[in-house]
Amino acid sequence: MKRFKMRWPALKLEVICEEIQENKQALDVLVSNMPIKAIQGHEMVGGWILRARAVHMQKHPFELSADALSSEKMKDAPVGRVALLFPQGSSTEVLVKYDECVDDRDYIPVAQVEPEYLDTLKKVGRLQWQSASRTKEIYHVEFTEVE
Amino acid sequence: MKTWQELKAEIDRETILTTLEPVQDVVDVFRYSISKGGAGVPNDKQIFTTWFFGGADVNYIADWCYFIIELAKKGTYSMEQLCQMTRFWIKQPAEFGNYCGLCKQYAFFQELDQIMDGLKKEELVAVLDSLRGYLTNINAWVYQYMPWGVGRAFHRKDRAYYETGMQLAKGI
Repeated sequence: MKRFKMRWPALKLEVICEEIQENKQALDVLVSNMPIKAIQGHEMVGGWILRARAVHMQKHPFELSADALSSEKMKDAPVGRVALLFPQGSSTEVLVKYDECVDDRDYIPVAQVEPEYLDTLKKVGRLQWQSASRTKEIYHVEFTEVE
Repeated sequence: MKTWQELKAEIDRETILTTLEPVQDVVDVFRYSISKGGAGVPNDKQIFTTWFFGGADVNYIADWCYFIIELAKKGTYSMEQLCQMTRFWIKQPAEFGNYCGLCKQYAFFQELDQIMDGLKKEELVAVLDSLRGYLTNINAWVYQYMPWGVGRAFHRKDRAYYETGMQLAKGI
């Protein structure tokens, strides 16, 4: 089973994510580009979702057709869902639902945060929201494959 | 005039430099409130409208790049049509973004504009993919520095709020 780690060095926090049944090919492309570093952001209207808006896939461009991938509305996804938005070529967005949200747009689900890390994920989400809305601290996120 | 390979390499270099460190244009405009192009200055010398309109316009250019690339992949559009779409959809917001101080993205577009008509489809796609990568960095940093906390001053009103207001108004 394919697994990867999301780590926020400034927060000294990390979660492990595992593959799901849907869109395994899309996850393969993402993981094949790891390690990846990006700036961590937050969704601003749809609810409690971590959102990395500029995730670059420099090694292996994303060539899968959007029509070939299944989608899921974030409001219906379980907490801990990792999804892609607009994956194409050398860029994608990566979102992680960490609590309730009302977002009914379609995203491409690719992984799930393992249950024992959900509390950590929520903590990261709250801190990132605090940054986005008040403190403006910059948090980087690192994606690395886990054996 | 640069070749498409030179332009792509230059954009890619800028993308690498601004993935973990801020885009300087964004720092100038969104963190330090400097209006390099003069936008907002005639309107009470404020920067808020520059943020609001400039940030949103440039945000969408990344999406236009995505859609033009998708249309190019479908193979139903000629190179002439794809160039026309690129000019229609990207030039205006990129130029406006430049006025709002997001200058480098417009400089990249202008260079693409000069060479676009002589490119093959896959070459245009390659440059647009790079440009999209740089634009996503701009967007990520705009979101980082935009003072979203001002939203706390404008809380959503609900029915109970107006019903209370109606009760209070009876005393006027």
